[in-house]
Amino acid sequence: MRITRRDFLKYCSIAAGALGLTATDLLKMEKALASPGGLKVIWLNGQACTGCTVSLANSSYYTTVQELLLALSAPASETLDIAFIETLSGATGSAIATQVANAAAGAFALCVEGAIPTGASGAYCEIGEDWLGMTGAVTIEAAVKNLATRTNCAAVIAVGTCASFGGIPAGFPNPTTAKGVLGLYTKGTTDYRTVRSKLLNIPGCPPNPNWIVGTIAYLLANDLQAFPSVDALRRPRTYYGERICNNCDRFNANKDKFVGVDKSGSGSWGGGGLTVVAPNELGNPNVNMPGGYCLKKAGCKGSRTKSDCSLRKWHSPGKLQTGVNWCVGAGAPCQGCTQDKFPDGMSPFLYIR
Amino acid sequence: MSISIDPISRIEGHLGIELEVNGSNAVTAAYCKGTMFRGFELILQNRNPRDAVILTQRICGV
Repeated sequence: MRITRRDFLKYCSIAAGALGLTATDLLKMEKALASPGGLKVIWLNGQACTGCTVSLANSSYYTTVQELLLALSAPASETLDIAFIETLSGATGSAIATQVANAAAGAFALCVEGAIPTGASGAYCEIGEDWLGMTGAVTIEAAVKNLATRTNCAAVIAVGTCASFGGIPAGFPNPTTAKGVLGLYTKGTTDYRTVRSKLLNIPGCPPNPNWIVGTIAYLLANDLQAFPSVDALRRPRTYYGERICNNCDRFNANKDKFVGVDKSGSGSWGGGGLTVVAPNELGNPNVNMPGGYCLKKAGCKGSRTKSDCSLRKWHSPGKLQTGVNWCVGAGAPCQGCTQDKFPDGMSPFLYIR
Repeated sequence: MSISIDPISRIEGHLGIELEVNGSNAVTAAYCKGTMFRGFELILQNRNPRDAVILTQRICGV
């Protein structure tokens, strides 16, 4: 079987995360992964589950992660040079401190994944040692504060609901006083204005890979000079412009028919002749399939949630192809994960009576 | 001599390792530390039990 260089590099970039490579091998691998001249990216993990990194690696709609990183077909100016991303990083230990310092010396973009705990002076999340002139353990709070306000930090991209708004780690009672990136700064201060002006929130739990890659691609295409149009929550309108229900098959086809339980046995949920279907009838294809009955009475938060899940869907099989399915399509009520109120404001997620 | 490797990359989460090495390059003691805490148990307390399935699936995304 003939393997082209392109195939080989693709294979390497997939395998790098799974293999325990020696330091020398890793330096070679780093060179292969980094696109020279591409935008330097420092990707920091706070209180993250790394689901956002995994989602990024699933990119296929605009471009695959391999193409974005390897610059096989795109000019260098349209690619990324990920100087540090913990989960896929070749380097480990003190070598990472050097990588981060080198990347922070020039223009770079800062991606943050996971919430940032501010309780106990940030000690609930330490991400390394002796970084950026700080001695001893470096907290995610200190690292983000150090990097985000630098003038050579071209953009701050909060990937995921945790980094955007605090997310699940900030759920009541918020044991670690976790915050999103902008939550670190006091409203009205210079730092707040500086960071907000270059902040893009890509919430979602996890965010769709196309939202992450599409936003980064927009920045690259505009040489970091123009930012996409954003809403009040600093989310790109392209991806978070419409409510889930607006384009939901279930809502549009059957908005007078709900999946839920008729408590009184005579249509007490909606009254007025609404059809209410009990969960034990979920096996009915009319109820369970895409385009089946509306899930609002089962706890769906689509009416309060903005994202293009219902159009874009998830797990795109290839370039510019609509995804395979999405939460509501699969019969799971929307959890409202792209909103700043997630999770407390969306609870309870499921209504089962 | 003590050696510190922090962070360990290519894993999910935050991990640091500290080693004690003696004169003949043998490891005499090794310590590892998970350096991140979210308090899922505390967040789940007094919450609607149906929420647990939605929240606990986010403990690890890998």
